[in-house]
Parts: sequence; C-alpha cells; structure tokens
Amino acid sequence: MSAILWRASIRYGLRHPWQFGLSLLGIALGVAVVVSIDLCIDSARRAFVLSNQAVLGATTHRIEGGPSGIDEQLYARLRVDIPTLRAAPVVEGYASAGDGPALQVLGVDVFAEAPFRPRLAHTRVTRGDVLTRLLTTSGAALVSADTAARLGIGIGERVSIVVNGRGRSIEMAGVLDVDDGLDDASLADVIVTDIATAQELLDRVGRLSRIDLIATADEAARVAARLPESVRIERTGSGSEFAERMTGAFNLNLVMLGLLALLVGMFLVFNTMTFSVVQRRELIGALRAIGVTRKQIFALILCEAALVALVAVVAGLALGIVLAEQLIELVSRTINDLYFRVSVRSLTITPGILAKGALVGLAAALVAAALPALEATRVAPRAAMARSFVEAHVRRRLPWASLAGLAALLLAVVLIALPGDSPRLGFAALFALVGGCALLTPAAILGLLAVLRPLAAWSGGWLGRLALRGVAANLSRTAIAIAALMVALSATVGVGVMVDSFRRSVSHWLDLTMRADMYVGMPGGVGERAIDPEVVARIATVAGIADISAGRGVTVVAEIGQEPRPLELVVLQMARRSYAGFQLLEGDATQAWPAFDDGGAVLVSESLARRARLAPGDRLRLQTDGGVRGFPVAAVFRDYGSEHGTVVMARQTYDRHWHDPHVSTLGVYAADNVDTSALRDAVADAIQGEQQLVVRDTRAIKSASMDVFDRTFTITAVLRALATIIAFVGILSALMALQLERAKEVAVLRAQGLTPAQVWQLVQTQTGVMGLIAGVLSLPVGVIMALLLILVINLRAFGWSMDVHVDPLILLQAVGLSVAAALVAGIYPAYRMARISPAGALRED
Amino acid sequence: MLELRHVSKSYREAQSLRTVLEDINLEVRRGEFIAVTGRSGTGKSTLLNLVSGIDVPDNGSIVLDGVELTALDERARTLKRRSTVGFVFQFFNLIPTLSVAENLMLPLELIGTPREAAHERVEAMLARVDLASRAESFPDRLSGGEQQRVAVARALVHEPEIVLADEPTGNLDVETGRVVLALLSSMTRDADKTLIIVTHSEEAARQAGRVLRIEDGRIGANSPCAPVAPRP
Repeated sequence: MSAILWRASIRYGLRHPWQFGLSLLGIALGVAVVVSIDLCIDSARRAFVLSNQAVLGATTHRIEGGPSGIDEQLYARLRVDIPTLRAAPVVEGYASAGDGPALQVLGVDVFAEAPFRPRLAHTRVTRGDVLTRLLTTSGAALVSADTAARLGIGIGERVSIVVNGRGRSIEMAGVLDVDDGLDDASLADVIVTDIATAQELLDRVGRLSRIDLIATADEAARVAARLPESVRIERTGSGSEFAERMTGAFNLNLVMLGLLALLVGMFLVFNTMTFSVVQRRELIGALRAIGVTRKQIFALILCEAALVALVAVVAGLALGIVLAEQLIELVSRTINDLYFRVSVRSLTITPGILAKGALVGLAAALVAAALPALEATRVAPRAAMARSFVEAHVRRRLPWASLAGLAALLLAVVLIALPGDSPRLGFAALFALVGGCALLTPAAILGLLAVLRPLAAWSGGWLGRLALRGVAANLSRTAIAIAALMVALSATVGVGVMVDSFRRSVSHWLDLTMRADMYVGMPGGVGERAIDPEVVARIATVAGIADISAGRGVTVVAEIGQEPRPLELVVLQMARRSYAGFQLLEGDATQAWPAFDDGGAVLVSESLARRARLAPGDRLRLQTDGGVRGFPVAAVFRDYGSEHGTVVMARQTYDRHWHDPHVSTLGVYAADNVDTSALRDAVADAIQGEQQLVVRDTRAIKSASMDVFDRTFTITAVLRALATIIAFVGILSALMALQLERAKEVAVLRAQGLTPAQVWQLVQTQTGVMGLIAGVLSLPVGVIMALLLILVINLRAFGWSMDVHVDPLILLQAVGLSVAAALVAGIYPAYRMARISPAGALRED
Repeated sequence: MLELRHVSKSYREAQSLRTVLEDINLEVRRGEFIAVTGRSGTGKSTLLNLVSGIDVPDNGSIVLDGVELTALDERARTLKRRSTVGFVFQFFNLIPTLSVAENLMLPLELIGTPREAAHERVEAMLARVDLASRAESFPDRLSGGEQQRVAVARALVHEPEIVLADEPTGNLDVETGRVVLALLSSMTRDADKTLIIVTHSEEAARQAGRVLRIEDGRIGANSPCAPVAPRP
C-alpha cells in the first residue's frame, strides 16, 4: 500500500469525523454487547465451576441415593470391605439467614477430607483448637470471611439460621480462608461443619447425602458390586458440563441477541464505507486513471474499515467490560432464579473472550466493508461516474438484490425444515430471514413510496412530493439506513411479541395450575423441604377446608439416553379440583388419569417429552429405592416450571418405590362460601409451632412468579434497547451522509427561494418518511421473527410451546419509535441544511 | 509511439447499441502534439480512454509504446498506464487530502521511484510550473489555474511517454487556459513527450501539430493522419 495513498485516506477520515465517528460508535457498541454477554456468561460459569470444585475437590466418583439419601452404615461397610478405598462422606443441604442468599451447609468428615478438598484442608480447619471445637461444639462451623461479615459474626460467636423451617444456630469456629491463591468467591455462602453437626442441623441423622470417592475404575467397579439397589455410583465432572447443560439455551439466546446488535452495527460500517466510496468516486476515478490498480483501491477501502474497526474494537472492549459490570447481576440473578445457585462476586475478564470480541468486531467490519470496497474497484477511471449513474446502477441491480433476498428467505425455510432439534439452525434461519428482508428493503421502499405519494402530495404539497422523491432518488443511501432501522425494530417487535406471548402463556398456565386458594410451605426456595406430619394433620382439621392437595418435590435420576440425568419429580396427592390444573398436550385424559391414579403411570412435561423423545405409552426409567424401574408415560402436559423437564407421579405410586413419606407443600381449597382470608388466618394459626411455615396467597405466588419471569427478561430488554440505540446511530449516520451530500441541491433550492424553515420541513419530512417506512416494514418482519422465535427457536431451546399473541400496542410502539428516532436523527442534518449558505455551496463545486 | 488499427467501440444504451468509434486507424509518432476536436458525444473522450487502456475496444488493436494494449489484461493495462501515460483532466481531479507536493509524489511512488529522487523530481517540477512556494498547500487553497498547473506537473512528473489531456482548459478562463496550454505544450515538447488533447477550443487546436476531427465516430476527411505537422 502506497504511504501517500494511506495518508490521503487518513486525512479523508479526519476531515469527516462525524461520518467515521458514528460508524466507530456503532461497531464499538456491537462489540461491547457481544463481549459483555460473553464475560457475564463466562464469569457465572467460572463461579459455578469454582464453587463446585470447592465442594467436590478431587473427587472422581460419587455414591448417591434417592431423596432420603444413603444410610451412613454403607460408608462404614465400604471402608471395611475395601480398606484401601479413599472415601469421604458428605451431608449437604441448605439454610437461610435473614434476607441474604441461601447458605450451603456442607458436612464433612474432617479426618477423611484432606485428599478430597485440599482447599478446605489448607484453611485453618487443620489447626488443633479449631478442629477440637468443630468436633466437640454443637453447631460449630467454618465460614468464609465474606460470609461471616454478611452474617455479622466473629470467631466464637453464634448466629441463628433456618433449616427446613426450623430455627437453628451455628457457632463460628474458624474462618474458611483460602491461602492457595485461588478465588475465595468459590467458598462464598458455604458453611462447613463436621458431618454429625450437619446431620443434626439438616434433620438427617444416620443419613448421608453422598459419599465422595477418589477411585480407579477397578475400585469403582468393586464399590458398585457392593451397593444396594437404591444407591448408584457415578463419575463426577468439573461442573462445567453441568452448567453448560443447564444454561446452554439461555446463554445461546443471549449470545444471539448480542450478535443481532453487532449485525445492526455492521449496517453502520456498510453505510459509512459505501458513502465514503460514493463521495470519493471522482477521486477514485482519478487514482485509477493515474495507474492505481483495482487491488490497491480494494485494499485501501478495506484498510480504512480495518482502521476504524481497530479503534472501535478497543473502545468496544473497554465499553464491554463496563457494560458487563452492569449486566453481571442481571445474568447471575436469572441463573439463580431459573437454574442453580451461583454466587458471582466479581467479573472475570478473560483475555480469550476479549480476543474473540476483537476478532468478531474486526471481521464484522471487514465483511461489511467488502462490498463497498468491491464497488470502489468498479468505479470507472477518469471519474465519469456521476451520481445519477450510481443510482441508475443501484436501480439496475434492484431485481438481483430482491432475488437474493428471496433466496435468503428460501434458505431460512430450508434451515427450519432441516431435521434436528438444534436451536442454532433456528438462529441461522433467523439471520437468513433478517438478511433476506434487508435485501428486499429497497424494492419494498419503492412500493411503499408509491402508496405514500398521493398522501404526501395532499398533506405536504410540492415539498412533500420533493421529500418523497428524494428518498426514491437516493435509494443507494436511503435503503441502507431504512434497512438498518428496520432490522433493529423488527428485533424489537419479534422479541417483544415473543416475550408478550410467553408472558401471557405463563400467566395462563399459572392461573390453570395454581387452583388452590392458598399454599402452605417452607420459607425460602432452596433445599430439602418437608412439612411435619403432625402439621399436615392439624391443617386437615381446620374448618372451612373443602380439599387439600399434598405435593413433594424431589430430584431423582432418570436413565435417558446413555447418561443418567437428574430430573425434578413432583409427587402429588391430588385434590379433586387439582386435575383440571393440567393441560394435557398428548394423551387421552379419560385413560391417562386412571392410569396415573391407580396404574403407576406418570405424566411428563412437554420439555422433557421433547428432550427425551417420550410419548404416551413409552416407559420412563427412574432410579428408585428398589433399583431402576420403568414407569409408563400416561400423558404429556404443558409446564413452564423447568426447561429440563418435570415428571409428575401419584403419591401412592411414589410410596411404592421410595421410602420418603414427606410432604413439601400443601394446596388448600376453601369450601364454598368460605371467606378465604379468614380461612388463611385459621390455617396460619394451625401451623404455629416449632417449624416455621408460611401460608401463601395464590395471587401472591402468581405475582412473585411473574416477577421472576419479568426479571428473566430484563436483560433481553436491555439488549433490545442497545440494538435500537445502534440502529438510531445508524440512521443518524445515514441521514447526515445523505443530507450533507445534498448540500449543493439544497443550495440550489435556497437560491430559488426556499426559506430555511422550508428546508427544515423538507429534511424532516424526508427523515420522517424514512422512519415511517422502516417502522411499517419492521412489522411483518418482526412478526415472522416472533413466529420463528416461538415456534422454532424457543421450542427447540427450552422445549416450551406457547400461544402466539400479537399485541397491536407492540406494533404501534415500533412504528412510533421508528418515526421518533428518525425525526430526532434528522434534527442535526436539518439544522445544518437550513444554515447552509447558498452562495458558498454553489461556489464550492 | 501509438498505433490504432481498425478500432471500434460501442456502448449499450437501453435496448440499443450506440457506436461511438468506428474503424479508427491512427498512427502517432513520439513528440507529436495532436488535438482531437469534434462535437460533444462524438467519441473524443472514448478515444483517450482507449489509448490509455482505461477502456478496451470491441474490435481492432492499439499498440502503445511497443506494447499491444488490447492483448493485456486489466491489471497489466493499469501498470502500463501507470508508467507510460500522464493525465490532465478538465476538473483537475487533484487528491484533496494530499498537499500539492504529495499529489506529485503519488505517481512517482506508484512506479517505485526512490524517495530522495522523487523529492528532487517534485521540487524541480513545481519550480517548472512556478508553484514551488505552494508545495505544502492543499488543492482547495489554490485557484483553478494553479490547480490545473499542479495537474500538468502531476501528469509529467513521472516522465510518461504520452500525456493525454481531456479539455484541460475547459474549466478555466481564456487567459488562464492559454497559460496552462502553453505550459503543457512547452513541457511536453521540451521533454520530447507525445501530447494528445481533446478540446473544443479553436485556439488550442491551432497550437497542435495535427488536428483530428471526429465526426460520427470516424476521423474526419479533413484531418488526415499524415503528413505530420511540425510542433510549434
């Protein structure tokens, strides 16, 4: 590349700072969104893996039982039978203290621990005095310094906690500090106690949650041969796979939204580089005439784009880190709400993610600049190419662009029709749809302008006609701006309709499912929950109750495919009115319910049915206390509770296969004509006792559930807003380019008697029309995008079907936003145009 | 120096084919000054495009400085043009983001002239066009006449064998146009370079050694290819 040519390019950029500045801002925002999402996801994953490592340590295998755990005698037997076996018993559960996050109670055998959790062994647990207190003091526990500060306790002090609804207290025996240089966030909100203390705290005397092993394959096989049917041995992973499996679909959705923002940013680069080529067509022509090759021109334009992108990427990475600091809480809160407990104390800034963001940004900018660069090589030498020729060239290629657009739409259809359940194909179809619609935009603009022309002539007179003609005559510029805004708006419409449809479906599902007038359960949402049988009996005697349903939620292991998978099992002793709470999607209700009640059959949620390819008549194999048993599937029901699937089983079926008589929640149905608030007071009186239980109003539960739903989509709304901001920058950039390029034309009009106010009117009418067209075009594209999101992507990612609902308000908002954004973006160009000196502009050429 | 044999060129316009040049035969010797005249749209500029290798004829052959342009691909034609042809345009077409000196440096840099030699050459050329004091100025600070003098210097700075000028005085007042034409003529003559200008100016045409009048895509009968008139 010639140094002088390069110098000319840089000076050109410096002479048009707003043009390149806006492009830079667009790509920087796009990179920032992509990087921030990646950083948030990675930080959450790392936090989970670290905390998993802290809890699992060097464990290679784990022995696990059913909901009631493992008899501690098994541990003793294994140690005797296989003396060389390195095994450590663990009792695990959850507690709460105040309004803070749940505390994980980890009961370990301090003498067996060292090889398993060296990080714990490095703490002051090994000091003699702490060890003695841990083993001899009731409720003695180790907590991290952060957690101790949150709980407001020091060494030797006690704090009250709630376990399984019962008040307990622990004494801080020592600080769980990590001196191996690793992140101590992994031990956040963990209480480490001796195993006997944990059993006492968690009401699991004589029971273990699991036994951790460091074992060879041979040793593991010997252990497996000695296990009772109710217990199984499994290899352990780093937790990374688990985190990926649980949050994969959620993460994928965020990443795709980020890419959508970057795609809108790409329009900006495309716009800027196209404009810079059109603006310099005479100059490029002269360069070609004096012997600059096509290749050199191509390289020059690409280098300009790369330089802009380089600055944008640096700014984008910095902005991404700042944005991630803001988003991390939203992401981790959603993961906590929906998937698993994770405490993300700080953002982990990984060089790999920054490098990936930089590469994506650079690649996006270069891809976006490739077409304008190619255009530049086609500029005829000697600059014979007038602006009208450029537009004529665009018009000639319009049918081809439209055909390419139709081909992209066809590709989207093919991608959807391809076999497979991957949501990635759905997203690929989404991007093909967006690309196809963007290519069809110029033709659609001309069509809409034909419709708007009489209206503009009627309302705006000759100025209106002139404004519309300006949009059509400068299609090479206006189409890109309108397409960029259309893409961002259609994303707003598409995601808006999807979220609204989802919200309505969830709300309807909650109304259908939560049929009882009130629910009795444990405060807090994590951990083993079991209502005392005597409390259940007391509630049953309260006058005014028509019926009670009793539920038990446990995690069981299912054999699905090659891997054993943990599944949520909901055990129900149904009230008469509870049956109507299930919306059966597959299976005949008249046969399904008798099979469920008396035939040992189960109901599976829609997401589980999709993931495990289960249908009525199939058998689902579950690990019971009597070994693995197959349960016939009676029906598939709609459920938005868990994307990983839920199995519902009748109480009597559960009791036949598991030794777990507990109940977690009770649904209370009021008798006819009974005042429910009075009944709630009566039930609250009946549950007074040692166990802390709460009576929740059904409406309050629904409201809390919808709050969680809305929290989940807060990040989606933030990302949509960012994409719209980028589109706004895009339309501002395009309008600036367009209007400033037309300075001469406006000067001629001013010379002929157009007043500055009329120039304002002309420019604002033109930008308003562009906004209106973008808004109108975004509606069908947005609705199709919503259908794709609902019927393909969400269904594949989460396994949830939902009813499509297109709220006219969302559509009106999109058009309003579009026109408003365009009008705001038109203010500065209109100001500049109105102030233009006709004499100066005419003299300049 | 330059030889055109049976050269024809047509352009497609809408559904029809418009013949711009038809069966052009022309021989130009080194150091000649030729003026090409004719009404607008008769193919004068097309002729310059073909001679410089910017465009290719539909039929016939063009040999420039011993190389058959019509046998070369686009890149090779560009490289040939870079070293052999100098251009002067009606609207100057200087690079607005480069200073006067840098505008002159560009053709030298493109052909790989060493930096020191290039600087010396630029200085000499600017002195020749009497613009040494404006070396660091940018084009938008110069008058039309000054810009065209820079364009003349740029066309000759890399010592091309032939200079093509398309209406070099068309955008200048009569007096300035006269000065620029004199400069262009004298500089090419002194360097023994061939000069072909397209012009509507009778006065400019009179200065040429030979006048080619193009009518209906053909070289008119009153403008014979030979004999060659002496340079004024």
